Amino acid sequence: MLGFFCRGTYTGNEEYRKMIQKRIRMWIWMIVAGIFTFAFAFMMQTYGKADAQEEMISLYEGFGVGLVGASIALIIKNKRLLKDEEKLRKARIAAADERNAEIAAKAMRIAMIVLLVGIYFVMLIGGLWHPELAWALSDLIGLFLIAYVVAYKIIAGRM
Amino acid sequence: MQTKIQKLRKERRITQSELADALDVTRQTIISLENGKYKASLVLAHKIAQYFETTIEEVFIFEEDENLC
Repeated sequence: MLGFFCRGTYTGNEEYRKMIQKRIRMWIWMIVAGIFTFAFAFMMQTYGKADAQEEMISLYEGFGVGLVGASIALIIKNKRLLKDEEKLRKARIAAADERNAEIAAKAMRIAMIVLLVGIYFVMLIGGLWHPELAWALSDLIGLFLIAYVVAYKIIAGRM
Repeated sequence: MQTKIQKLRKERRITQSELADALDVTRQTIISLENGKYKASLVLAHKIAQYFETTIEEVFIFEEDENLC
């Protein structure tokens, strides 16, 4: 299965290698973000005066640890890939394969519909008890639609 | 869409993996093309035709009910 951000058109191993190196740098930034998230939650728990619930603090700490853990695992995986020319070639072909790209695009479209329907129902039902939830989710749907229109216009202009 | 890829490949005694490697696609893509489950892009169709030293029309069988819209 091809990951969300793994698709692209790579003509050779060198081009793909550069992209992997960029991706490793991105995961390093994710580790920084994870440490920051964890530290922020920890500081809020220890010194903070914010009216944050204990379970939310734990959730943020979990996000931070999860980001760091996942990033380290992905860095190790990608570093191994860089050392093995044959595995790199296979990964490049899988990432650039047009059938894989079409499958991923269709899966993404279905997941997006499920997500939007899910958000709609959570907004509709959850909003009865927590109106702020309905507002936040309707804003998210609005953001999604605006992002889609803007991205569509930009891409259409380039094609 | 039906194709003659399997026929051409067998005539030349090439395995699916070898063809996939030559075209820079996965073996699964070759399998799907041969089964008619996946329609190749123009670029891939061109690469396949070039590989077999023939024309796109010779490799891919365009059916009338596959409308152009």
